[in-house]
Amino acid sequence: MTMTRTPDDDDRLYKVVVNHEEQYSIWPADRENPAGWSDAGPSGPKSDCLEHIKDVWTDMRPLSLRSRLRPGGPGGPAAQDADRAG
Amino acid sequence: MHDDPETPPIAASGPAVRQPLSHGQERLWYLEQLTPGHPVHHLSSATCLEGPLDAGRLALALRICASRHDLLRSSVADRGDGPIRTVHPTADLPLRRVDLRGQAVPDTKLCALLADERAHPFELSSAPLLRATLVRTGRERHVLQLTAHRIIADRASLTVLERELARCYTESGQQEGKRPPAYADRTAPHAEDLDAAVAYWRRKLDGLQPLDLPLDRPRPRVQGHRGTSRRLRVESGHAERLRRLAREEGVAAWAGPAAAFAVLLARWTGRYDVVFGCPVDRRPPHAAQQAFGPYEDLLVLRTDLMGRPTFREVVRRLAATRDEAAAHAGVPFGRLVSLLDDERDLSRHPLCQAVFTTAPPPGTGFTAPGLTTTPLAPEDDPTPYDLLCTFAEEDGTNGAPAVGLRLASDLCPPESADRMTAVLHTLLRAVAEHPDARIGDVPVLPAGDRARIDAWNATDRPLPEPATVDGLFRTWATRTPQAVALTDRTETWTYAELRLRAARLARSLVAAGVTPDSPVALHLERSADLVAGMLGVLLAGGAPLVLDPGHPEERLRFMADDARIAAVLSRDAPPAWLDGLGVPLLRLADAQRATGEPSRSTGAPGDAHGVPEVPLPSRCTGAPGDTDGVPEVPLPSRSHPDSLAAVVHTSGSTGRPKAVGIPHRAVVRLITATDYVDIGPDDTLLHLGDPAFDITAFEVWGALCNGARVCVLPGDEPLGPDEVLAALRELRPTVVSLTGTLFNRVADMDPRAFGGLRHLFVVGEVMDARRTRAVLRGGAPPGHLHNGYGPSENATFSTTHRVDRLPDDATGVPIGRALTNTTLHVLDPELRPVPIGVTGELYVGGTGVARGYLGRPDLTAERFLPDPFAVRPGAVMYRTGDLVRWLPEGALDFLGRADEQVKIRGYRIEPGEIEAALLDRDDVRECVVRAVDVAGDRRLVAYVVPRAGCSPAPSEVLGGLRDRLPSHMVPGHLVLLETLPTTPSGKIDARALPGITAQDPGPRDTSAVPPRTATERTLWQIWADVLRVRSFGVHDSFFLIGGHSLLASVVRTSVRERLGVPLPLRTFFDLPTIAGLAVEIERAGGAPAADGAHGTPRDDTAHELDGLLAELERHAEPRRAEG
Repeated sequence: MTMTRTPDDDDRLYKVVVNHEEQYSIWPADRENPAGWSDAGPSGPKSDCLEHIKDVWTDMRPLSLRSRLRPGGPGGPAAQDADRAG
Repeated sequence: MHDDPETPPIAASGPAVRQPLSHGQERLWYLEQLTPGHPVHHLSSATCLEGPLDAGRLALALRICASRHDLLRSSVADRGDGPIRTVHPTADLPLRRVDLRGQAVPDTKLCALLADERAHPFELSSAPLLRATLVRTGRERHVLQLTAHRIIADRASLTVLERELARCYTESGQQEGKRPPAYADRTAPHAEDLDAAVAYWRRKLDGLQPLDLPLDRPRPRVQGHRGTSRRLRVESGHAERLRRLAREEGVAAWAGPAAAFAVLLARWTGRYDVVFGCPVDRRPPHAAQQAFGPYEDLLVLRTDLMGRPTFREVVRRLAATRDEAAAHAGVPFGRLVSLLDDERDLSRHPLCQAVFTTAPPPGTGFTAPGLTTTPLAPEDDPTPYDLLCTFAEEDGTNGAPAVGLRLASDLCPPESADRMTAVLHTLLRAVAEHPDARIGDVPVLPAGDRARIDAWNATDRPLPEPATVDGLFRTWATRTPQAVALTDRTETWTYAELRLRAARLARSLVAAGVTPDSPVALHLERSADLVAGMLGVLLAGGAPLVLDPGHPEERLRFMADDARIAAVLSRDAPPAWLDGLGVPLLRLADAQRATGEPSRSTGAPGDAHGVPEVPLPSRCTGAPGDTDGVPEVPLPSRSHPDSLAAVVHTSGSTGRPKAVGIPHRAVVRLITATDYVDIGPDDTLLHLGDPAFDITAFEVWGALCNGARVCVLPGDEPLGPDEVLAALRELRPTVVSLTGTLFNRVADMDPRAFGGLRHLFVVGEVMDARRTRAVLRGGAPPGHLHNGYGPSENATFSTTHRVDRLPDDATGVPIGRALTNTTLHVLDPELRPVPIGVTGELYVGGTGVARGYLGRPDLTAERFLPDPFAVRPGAVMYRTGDLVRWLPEGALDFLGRADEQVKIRGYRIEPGEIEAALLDRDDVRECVVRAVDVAGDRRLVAYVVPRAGCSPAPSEVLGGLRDRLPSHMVPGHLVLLETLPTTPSGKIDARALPGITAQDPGPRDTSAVPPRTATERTLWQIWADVLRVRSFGVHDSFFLIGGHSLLASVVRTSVRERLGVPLPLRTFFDLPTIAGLAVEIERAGGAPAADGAHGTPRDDTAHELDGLLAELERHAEPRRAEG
C-alpha cells in the first residue's frame, strides 16, 4: 500500500512563536505571524522547533494566571475577583 | 421515418476482410459488452441546414463516403476467439429521413428525436456503426445529425465525414480520386521500444490513486455518465497572461490552462499527486484531413505538485510531463488499461477520472453552396469521467475564451458544480495575475464562501459571570438552596447540602496542600460521592482527575504520574498503590467531615439528616436565606476562568495517553449561555457516562451550573441498554447523552424509549443513520435529537447537529454547526481555508479550546496553533486531525480521521459507508468494518452481530453488499460475533476485535481446491484453456491468476457455448471464482446439477467463510481462557 504524500510530510520550515500569555506554538516560517504572536526562537524543521519549545516552555500555565496566583497566594484576595477576568 | 429507398448501396471491390481490433477498439468492444448500448459509447454531430436541400443527393453522398472509409462498412463480432472487425465490401449507409413539419411543438419534438437517435443502441455485429438522420423541420429547413459508435469514430472523424459529405454533395456524387488511409493502429513500434514504453508506464503510474473528489452522494457501483455542465468565461486579459506565461516558459499554450486545472484538482482534493487524462489525436499527419477512425487516444498525465511549487513551475512541470508521456505514447490507452488497471472497478473510469481537453475551434458542420448551415451546439454527451474540463480559446457563442466543467451528476448535485466553477474562476484569475505565487498560497476560496463561513463562525458571546464552574454552582446554591442537586437512586442532596459537603472536602484538600490550578485525583467509580468529590476539588481551586477503579491499574498509575497530581481522594479502603504515589491521600469519609464531626456513613439514606454536630438542612424546611445555619464561613473562590476545571486523558497516537487540561471557561461555554441547549432548574440530567471522560462535564456541570438536577447511575462498568432503558423510564430525565453504540442498542430495544426527553445527544461515535431514522419515525422521538461532536481538547462538544429528519438515502448524519463561542476552520495542509464542499482538516477555536497537554509542551505546541482567524490577538486553535467538509447550509460533514484513513488498493474507503449498508439489513444488529493487515496485505473485514434469532450467511451478506457498493468496498471477510467489544466509555473497542491472522486462508491464498461438480469442472477447463495455466482452484479469483477483462469476455463466450448459459459480463466481475460462477450458472438453470448435491446449490463461499469462522473461534478460545 502506498501512502498518499501530502505537503504535510515535506520539509517545510517552521518558526517558534509565542503569544501574550507566553504560550508557545509553531507557525510556517515563510508566513506572517497571526495577530498577537511573535517570533520566539529558532526556525527550522518542525521537530527542531518542538524540541526548542520543550526546553523553554517550562511553566505551561497562561501568564495572566501565573501572575494572579503568585502575589496574593492561593485563595488570597487576588483570586477573589478572579471571576471578573477573562 | 423511412430509409431512403432511391440509392442502392455502392459496391466496393473485394470480399469481406477480417481485421484485428486496435487496443482502443478492443476496450470499447469490451465496454459495450459490459454496458450494452450505453450512449456513453456514442458520439454525434448535428447541423442545421437552411435552403433548398436535395435529400436524394445527400443520401448518395453518404453512400459514396461509406465506400471510401472501411470503418463505415465494418462490424465487430466475437466468434469465440476474441472480437474481430469485419470490413464488408458493400457500403450500406442509409439516410434516415423524418418529417416534422406541421408538428405542434417542433422544437421539443426535434430535441427528443435527435436525443433518441443519439441514444439508440448499435448492434456491433452489424454494419454500419454510424447512422445519419435528416429531420425536416420546415419547407427549406433541415437538421442533419450523424451518430457513430466510438469503436469506429472519434469527434474529428465526424468533422472529416461532414466535410467529405459536403464535397460529394456539391460535386453531384463524383467520387474523389484519392482514397483516404485505411484505419489502422498506427502505433506499432518495435518490440524492444514497446517493452521500454510499457516499463516506463508501469513505473510512472505505480501507486496511482483514483481521483478523490469529495462526493455529495455515494458513488454508484456502476458509473452513470450523466453530467452537470458549467461554463465560465475567462477575461481575455487573463487568457492572454496565461498564453504569455507559456511563451515565457517556451511551452505550448495548452500548458497554462491545463496547469490551472491541475492546481484545481490538487486544491480540491488536497492531493498533490495529480492525475488527469488529455485526449490526443493520433491521425497520421499527412492525412489528418481525411482520416476517419477512432484515432483519438487518451494520454495519462501524472504530475507531482509536491514541494510547494509556484504556478510558473507547475506550467513547466506539466509541459514536461506531457512531453515525456508523448515520448512513450507507443502504448495506447486501451493497452495501458489492460496492463495496469483492467477496469475491474466499474464505478469509475480507469487510470484517470479527470480529463482536460482543449476544444477545437467551432466547425462549420455540413455546408454546401446555397445552404446556410449552423452547427448545433454539441449536446451534453454522456462522459465516462468524474470531471471533464474543456478549455476553448474561442467560445462558440461569443468568441471569448471559456472553460467548461462537467461534473458527474451521480456524484455531485448542481451546487457542487457551481462551487467548483466559482473556485476555478477565483483560481484562474489569481494564477494569471500572480504566476510566481506558490500554488498552496493561491486563494481558492470564493469571496462568497469566505463570507458565509465567517457568518457561521460569528458565535462570539460573553460568558456568564462568574465564568467558573464552582462559581456558577455557588450562585445556584445561593439562589435555590432547597432545590435537588444530586441523586443516586438511594440518596438525594439539595444544592445547600451538596455545597456544604463539597466545601468541607475543599477545606480538607486545601489543608492537605492543594493549591489552585493543581490536578487532584479522585479514585472513585461513578457515584454521587464522586460528584461531590469533584465539586470539592473545584472549590479548593484544583482540577478533578477521575481515576475510575474500573480501569486497569497500570493506566491509572500512569495517569496519576503524568498529570502530577497534588493529592488523591479515595474511598475508605484505597488500594495500596495509591499510597505509593507520594502525594497526600485523603479518604472521602474523613475529608468531608467538619472538624470534630464523626464520619457519615454512606449508603444509608436515613443517616442523611441525623448528623449531630452539623445539622444538615432538610429540603422540607424551606428556610429562607443562604447557608441554612451552616457554621463554616464561606470558602473564598480559588478558581479562575483560565484555571483548570478538569483533567481528562486522551489516547495519544504513540499509545501514551495525554492529559488534556480543560479550563473553567471551556466548560462554562459548553453548558451555559449557549445556543444548542437550554438547561434550567426544571431539568434532570443523567450521569451515566464514563466519569474519566469529558462527557462528565456536560452531564454533571450541565446540571449543577444551571440549577438542574443530576441523577447518577452508580457503577464502575459501562451501562447496558436495559439499564439505560430502566433509567429513562424510572428517573424521567430530560437531558441525556449516549455513546453511539449505546444509542443504537437502546434504539434497537425500543425506538420510542427517548420520547420523554427534551434533549438527547449522541456522542463520541459516528451516529447511525438507520437507528436515527428509527427513533425519529418511531412515534416518540425526543424533543431534540442531537449529533454531538468534539475532541476533549475542545471540552466535549465543538459542534452539534439537531436532527429533525433524515432522508431515506442519507448514509450518515452531519456533525453540525459550531457551539456558541466556538469557531470552526476547515483547512488545507497550508492552513488555508478550503472552499465549501471540499475536504479539509478541522481546526477548532474559541473559548472552548483546552490549555494544552499537561507537562507536554512539545505535543501542545504541535496541536494547539496560533489562530489566524480569531478576532482576539494571540488566540489558539486546536488541530483535531479529523477530516470534514462544509455542507452548503453551514453544517459539517464528518469524513473520518486524517491519520487513520482506510486505504485499500489505493481507494480511500469509508468504513462507515460499508457499515451503513450492512446496518440497513434487518438481520444485522451491530457491525463494524475495519481494515486488517494480513501478512502485508490489507483487507477489509466486517464484524457483524446478527439480530436475535437471525443467522445471516456471510456469503449472502457479502453478496448483498456487492449489489450496493463498488467492488473495492466489499469486505473480503465477514466475522459473526455475539457482541462487539466496547471500551469503558462505551465505544467500540477496535483493538479487542478478533484479528485475521496470517494463517488464515484468505480468499487469495486458498490453496487450489479442485473442481467438485460437473459445472465447476467445465468452468475449470474453460479457464485453463483461456489462461493457459492449470495451477488454480475453484476459489481463485480469475483476475489474480492472469485473467483480465478481455479474457473474461472470452470465457463468457465459452460458457455460453459449452454450458448454454448466457451470463452478463458483469457477473464475471461480481463472482470472479469458479465456485461463485458455478452457483450462478446452476441458478440460471443451464448446467447439470452439482454431483450428488440436491436441494439448494452448495454455497462454497459460505463454506470458505464458515471455515474462517471456525478458525477464528479456535483463535479466540485461548483468549477467553485467559480472560
